[in-house]
Amino acid sequence: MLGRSALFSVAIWIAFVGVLRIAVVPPESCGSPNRDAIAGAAVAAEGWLQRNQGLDGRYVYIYDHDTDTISSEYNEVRHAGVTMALYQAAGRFQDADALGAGDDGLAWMNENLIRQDGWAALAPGGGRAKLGASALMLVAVAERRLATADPQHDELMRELGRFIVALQRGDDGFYVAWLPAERAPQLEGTSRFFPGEAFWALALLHEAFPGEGWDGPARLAADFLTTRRDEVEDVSFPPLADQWTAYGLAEMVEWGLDDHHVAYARRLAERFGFLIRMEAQRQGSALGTLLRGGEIRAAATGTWVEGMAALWRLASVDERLADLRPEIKERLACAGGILAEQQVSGEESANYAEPGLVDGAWFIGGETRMDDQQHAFSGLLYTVDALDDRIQREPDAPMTTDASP
Amino acid sequence: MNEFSLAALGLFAAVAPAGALPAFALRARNADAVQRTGLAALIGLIAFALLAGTAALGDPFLDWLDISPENFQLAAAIVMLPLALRLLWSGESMTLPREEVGDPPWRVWLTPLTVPLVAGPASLVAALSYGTRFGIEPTLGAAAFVLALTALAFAAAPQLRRSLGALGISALGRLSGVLLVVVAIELLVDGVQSV
Repeated sequence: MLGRSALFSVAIWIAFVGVLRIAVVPPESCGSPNRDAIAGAAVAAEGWLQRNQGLDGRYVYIYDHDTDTISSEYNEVRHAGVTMALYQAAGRFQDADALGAGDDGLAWMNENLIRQDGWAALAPGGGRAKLGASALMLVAVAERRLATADPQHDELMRELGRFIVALQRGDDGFYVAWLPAERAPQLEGTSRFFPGEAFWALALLHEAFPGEGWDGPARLAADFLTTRRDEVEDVSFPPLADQWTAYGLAEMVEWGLDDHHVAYARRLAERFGFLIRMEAQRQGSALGTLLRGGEIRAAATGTWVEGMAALWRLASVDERLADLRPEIKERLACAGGILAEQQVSGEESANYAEPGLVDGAWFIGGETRMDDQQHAFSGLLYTVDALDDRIQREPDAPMTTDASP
Repeated sequence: MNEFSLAALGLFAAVAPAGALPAFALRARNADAVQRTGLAALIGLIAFALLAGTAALGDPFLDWLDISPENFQLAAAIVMLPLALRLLWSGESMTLPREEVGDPPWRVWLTPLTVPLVAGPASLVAALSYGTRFGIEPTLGAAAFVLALTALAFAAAPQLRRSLGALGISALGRLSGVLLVVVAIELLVDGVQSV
C-alpha cells in the first residue's frame, strides 16, 4: 500500500507532468503531411500567382478579404521573388502560362532598370537600387534560363551580376543598395537577407556561365555568410533562419564545400527544424496556439520549408550531412502538411467576394501578401522533390518556347 | 563520446547511486549481507525492466502523445531538475520519514527503494530520451551497466559507509546533482539544436 506521503508525491508529479504537457510539450500537428496534398497546395499557390497579375506585369501585393481591398503598396524585391517562382513553375510543370506570367513580370523589371558602368540594377522610378531586388531578378532570369534554355537574357544576367559584385564590400558582405543620385553605394544600414540573395544569385550565375569567374565572389559571400554575417547583423539567436543562403550552399555543393560551410548548414538545419517543431506545436491545440503566440505568415513558414528543402538537397549530396537526411525529410513533410492545411481551397474561396484572390492563398488577419504564395509555392515544390527523393532542382528538360518579354 | 557513454553518463546522473545510497542503507539496515545483496539485485533487475520498457516503448508513447523526441528532450531536462536540486541541497535522492525507517526490506523493495528511488521520474525520462535519441541497444546497455553499479553499491552499502563516511557519501551525492544539472542542460541544448 502506498502511504499518504507517497500518494502526495505521486499527485505532485502528476500535476508537474500536466504543467509540462501544457507549457513545454503540447501536442504537435502536421496538418496534411502527405505528398499529394502538398503537391496540390503548390499547384494552387502557383495558380494564385498567375491569376493575380496586372496588365503592367505587377502582381497583387496585398489583398484583404474582409474589406475586399487591394493595397496600393508595392515591393520590387518581392516582385522579383514572385517572378522567380513563376519561372520555377514554368520549368517544372512545363507550364507556358506560368512562363508568360513570369515574362510579364520580367518586362516590368526591365522597364525599371538603371544601367551604369557596365552593370544593371532594378530601381523602380530610378530611385534606390536595392541589392535584394537585383539579386532576385538575377535568380528569376537564371530560373527562366533553366526552364527554357533560352539565352536571350544572358547579357542581362551578367549585368546584374556585375551590379552585385560592385556592391560587395571589403569584408565580403554587401552594401544594402546603390544610390543613383549620388552614384555611390548606400553606406548606412544593412539588410539581413539581401546578402544571402546575392550569394545565391552569384552561385546560379557561375552555374550558368562556368569559367567566367563568378564563383570567386560567390565563395567570398559564402564565407561571409557562414562565418561573419550573424555577428555583423547582431542576430540575437544565430544562425539567422536564412533560406537564401541555404539555396546558395545547395547550389555550391557540387563545387565542394569547406568544413565551415557544412558546419553552418548543419546549424541552419537545426534552426529550421526547431522553428518547424514549434510551429507544429502551435498547430496542435488551441492551448499550443495560445502559448506559442498567434498565427504566423505563410511567407515565414514557407521560407523555413524552402531552406529545409535546399538543405535536404545539400545533405543528399554531401556525405558530411548524410545523418540529417531523414530528420530533414520528416520536418519538411510536417511543415508542408501545415501549409497545405492552412491554404484556402477552391471550395472555401467560393464564400468570398473575389474567389480568384482567395483560392490557393494563405491569409493572416484577413490579409494575404504575394510573398505568402511565393515562399509557400517554392517551399512546397521542393518539399515534393524531397518526398520523391528527387535531388536535381532543375527541370528534367527545358520547355520549348519562343516567348519573349 | 559515443552513444553508449553518453547514455551511461546520463542514466548514471539520473539514477544517482550515491544519492540513493543513504535511503537504501536506512531501509535495509536490519538486513544481513545475504538479504541486502538479494535486495540490491532485485531492485537492480526490477529497475532495469522498468527503464528498458520505457526506452523500448518510447517512440510509440511519444507518437501517442503527438510529441517529437526532440521536443520531449526539453521536458525531460525540466523533469530532471527537481532531483538535481534535491541532490545539490541535501546530497540525497529522497528523505525518508523516520517512522518508516524500520520497515523490513520485503515490505519496501518495490516502493520506495525501486520506485522512485532508483527508477524515478528522472531516470525514466532519461531512458525514454536516450532510447529515442540513440536507439534501444546502447540505451539498454547503458541502463544495465548503471544499474549493475547501483546494485553493487547497494550491496556494499555498509562497507562504503565505513570507508567514505557519511560526509563522503553526501559529497558524492551533491556531485551527482552537479552532474545531473549538466546532463539536463545537454538534453535541453540538444533538444533545441536538433533538426
